[in-house]
Amino acid sequence: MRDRLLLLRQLRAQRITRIWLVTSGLVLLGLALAGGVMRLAQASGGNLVSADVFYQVMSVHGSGMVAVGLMAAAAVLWYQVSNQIELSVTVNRIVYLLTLSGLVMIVLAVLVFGYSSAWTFLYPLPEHPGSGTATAAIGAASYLIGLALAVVGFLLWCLDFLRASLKRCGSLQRLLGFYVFGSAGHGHADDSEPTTTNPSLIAGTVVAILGLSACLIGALIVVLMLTSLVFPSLTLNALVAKNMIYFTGHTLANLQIYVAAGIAYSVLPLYTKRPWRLSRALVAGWLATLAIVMLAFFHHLYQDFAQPEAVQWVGNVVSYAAAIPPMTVTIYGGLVLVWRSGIRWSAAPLFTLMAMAGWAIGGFGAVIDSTISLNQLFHNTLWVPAHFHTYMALGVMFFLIGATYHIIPKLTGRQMKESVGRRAAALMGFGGYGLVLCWYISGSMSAPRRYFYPLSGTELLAWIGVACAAVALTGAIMVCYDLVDVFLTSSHYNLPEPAPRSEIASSQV
Amino acid sequence: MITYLALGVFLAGALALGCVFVVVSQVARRGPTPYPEVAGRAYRLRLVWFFALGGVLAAAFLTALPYIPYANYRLASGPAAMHVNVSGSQYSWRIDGAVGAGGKVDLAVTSVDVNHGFGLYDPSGHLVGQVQAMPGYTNHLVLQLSEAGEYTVRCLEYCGPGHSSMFMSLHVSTCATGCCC
Repeated sequence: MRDRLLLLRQLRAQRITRIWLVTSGLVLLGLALAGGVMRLAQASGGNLVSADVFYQVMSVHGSGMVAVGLMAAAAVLWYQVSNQIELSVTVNRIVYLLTLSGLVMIVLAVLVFGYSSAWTFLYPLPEHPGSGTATAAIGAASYLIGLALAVVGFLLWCLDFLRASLKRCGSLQRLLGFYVFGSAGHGHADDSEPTTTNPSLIAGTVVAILGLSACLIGALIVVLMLTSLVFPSLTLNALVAKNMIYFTGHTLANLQIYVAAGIAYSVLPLYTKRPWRLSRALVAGWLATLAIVMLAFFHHLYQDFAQPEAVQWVGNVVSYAAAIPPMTVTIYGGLVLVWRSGIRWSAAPLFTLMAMAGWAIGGFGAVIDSTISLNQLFHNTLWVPAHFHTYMALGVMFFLIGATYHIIPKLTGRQMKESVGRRAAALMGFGGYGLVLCWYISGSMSAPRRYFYPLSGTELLAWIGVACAAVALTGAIMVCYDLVDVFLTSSHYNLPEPAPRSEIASSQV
Repeated sequence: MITYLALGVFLAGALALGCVFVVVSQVARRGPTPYPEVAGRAYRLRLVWFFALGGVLAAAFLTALPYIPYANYRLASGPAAMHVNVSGSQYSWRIDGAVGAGGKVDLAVTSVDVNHGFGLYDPSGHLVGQVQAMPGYTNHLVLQLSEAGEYTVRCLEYCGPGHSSMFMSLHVSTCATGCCC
């Protein structure tokens, strides 16, 4: 009886993960294409679409990428650890519906009501959209409600993850791996026991704690701004509102890469046949990350000189410190894991390795931008989208694609085409790095971001960027086409799913 | 230009990181070598890498310290010779006061509606300084412009669909106190 229940649960987990993968794959591709349209419109000097349409596309691209990118990564991590902890399939379905509803509201706000206040929706811009559109207030309300739905969705994901993980480990200290500091040797602990933690669970836990904080603050500022929208006599402090928005926005955007790291911990060992074990360095790195991500958002406010100066210094120091855990634990650990492992570079590990490169290189660009004195000249130039696209598009998305190639056979019983994967990796790699290189150069030439047209001297770079984006998008379309093809032509269920403990054991080889 | 230097450093670092990943991906095909042997050496090396990375970051932080843009640092060597009030609104700038090259200018920047970004571009189109223009706050940006000519003020914080058109010309005279015409 218990086995049948377990099997039923696995089938339900497979089903919701399939839905997540196809939906997020198509939505992310659509948003990436929207980004491509933006680049084309910008390079054309504003001749392709009006400024209103350009900024509407920009708003949906930014908001959608942050929300769906995070939730897609969270859904994959959910599946990867679902045979280690008893996560709720029902909660996952609710999270899916909330995320989708939120996205629909955001798209409605933009397409129907002409909302265009960017994903940052800095107060009081939603109240004063500056577009003269009669339905602007409805658009702003629809956008904020959409954001609130997505935020509540992720809040539920975080709560369910913490509940299930704590049920396995018994306490937060144990879940975060504190016990490795008391173990002998180099701090390596046997994490195959059912009550012990492992790197993926630690990553998920840190993400869930940070996500809870970000969602609560995010929900609060959204409610305040909605109230202010309805009752204009209620005014908020613009600086406090900006701090709250960036705490939420930066944290949620940043968490994508940390969720993705949790996925990599469970995927890469299966291809190298080596364990990614718990160690003191790994636990210390994630504990540091917990504090770092909470405080790093201050670097968004360096140019708000009214902000207390001590806070600016905290932003600089913490943003520098943010480079250390990934560069010495996760990325370093990933490289050690593959070194002389005899690995065959199939699409899953190949995209995972490329994602780590994107994380490292984009992180380097971010460190440069987080230097207060350099930020004076780089803030809100094209350097900013350059570095975050390096670790989002060429980091998070590659982690997600790698994980998709890995779990598709489990979900459908069919493989995605390796040849397509390798060609897509080449196209997305060359196109993606070409695009961000154009932005890095334009940023160093002081070209502003979120501009409807290229500044004099950067027109050629804008067109080269469009060509590179087209190459990268071709790769993304190939992967999505293959993904949809596999889903449409495979059975609805894949039986039998590996036994609950088998994957844990195999990752400990 | 410091931004080109930063770009050079970035490109060199990115290239080095890219090479590391390419080399590792090729060496990874060999083996398999027993993992304890690989991990033992690698994790001893990690301690060196940890301190090297920390050292480089600390050095970069200290190197950048003298160039902090906040007013109290830039006014430490003497007061501003010119005081200019700047106010942003969708989608225009209002600038009260004259600016000259050579002397320090204190720009008191605010906004009457939403967040804007005051970005000052020199005659050759390079950004020389910026500060946020916020409703309810006045931010002081202190600059010392080295050359006279036609500068451009651009909005650097998204402020609505007219954001890209929010710019104006600012004449910087040859007089260090901004009084010359």
